[in-house]
Amino acid sequence: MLVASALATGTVVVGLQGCSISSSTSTSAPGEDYRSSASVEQALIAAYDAVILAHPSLAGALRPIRDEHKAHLSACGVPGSTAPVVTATSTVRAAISALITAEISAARAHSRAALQAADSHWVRTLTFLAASEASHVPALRTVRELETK
Amino acid sequence: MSPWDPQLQRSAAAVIAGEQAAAFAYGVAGAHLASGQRAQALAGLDEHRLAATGWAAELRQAGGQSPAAASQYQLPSDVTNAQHATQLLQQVEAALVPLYADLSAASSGDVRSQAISQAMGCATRAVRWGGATQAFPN
Repeated sequence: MLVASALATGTVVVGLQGCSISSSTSTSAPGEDYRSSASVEQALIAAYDAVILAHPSLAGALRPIRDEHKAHLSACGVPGSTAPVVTATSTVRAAISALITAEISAARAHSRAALQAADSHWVRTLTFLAASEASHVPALRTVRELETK
Repeated sequence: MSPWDPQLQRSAAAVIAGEQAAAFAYGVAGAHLASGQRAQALAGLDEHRLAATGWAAELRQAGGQSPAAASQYQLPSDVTNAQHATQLLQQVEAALVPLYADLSAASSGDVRSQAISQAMGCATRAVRWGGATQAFPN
């Protein structure tokens, strides 16, 4: 459970970054929102890596989703800040649930960023990121169902 | 409401046409699905119809011309069983995502906000119908 809270903390940080985008658009340096989104993706990739490491049986189901976050990160065009070291929770169920929470936070952060962004190409990218991340939720629910039957 | 610029009008018209096609696909697919899935398909049919009429009303108000729905659409492949039906729904839902991403990029404020939530909803439904997740759903 300690580990679950570590991941949850990472998620809260992601959410807060989203807030800071929306409340300080006019003052934020150019490129800051790209970096913020890249950091969200980097944190998600780290979270998936940790779960796959702790639960190798999930690799087949989770790696494709992890790779989609890699593609999202490339689309941000900048590296994110280094993701916090994450350790996955001990149970499969809790680990997948934590990923679901992280995906919901990421989708929310990206849709909020899309609303605030000025560059139309970046708005389009952020809309795709939010849509893809929202769609990861039912996919993860299916994995959780199959794995904990 | 102030008139929409041509780019925004074009994106909205594309979304309307996409939603009309999606509603048609849901009608076709629903006929091949059994109870639970059929109810889900009927709900989807309503949602897409509502989205098409809603966007059409907004576009007209903003000085644009809304495309008329066709009575028939060419389906990507024949739908003769439940598996074909769910595949069709995966495709039409995913195909709406780039249309909404374009609308999102061409708009601001409320319209953009709606476009983003619709993009998320379509991508989510595509996966619920059994589609694979995608980094850039289309």
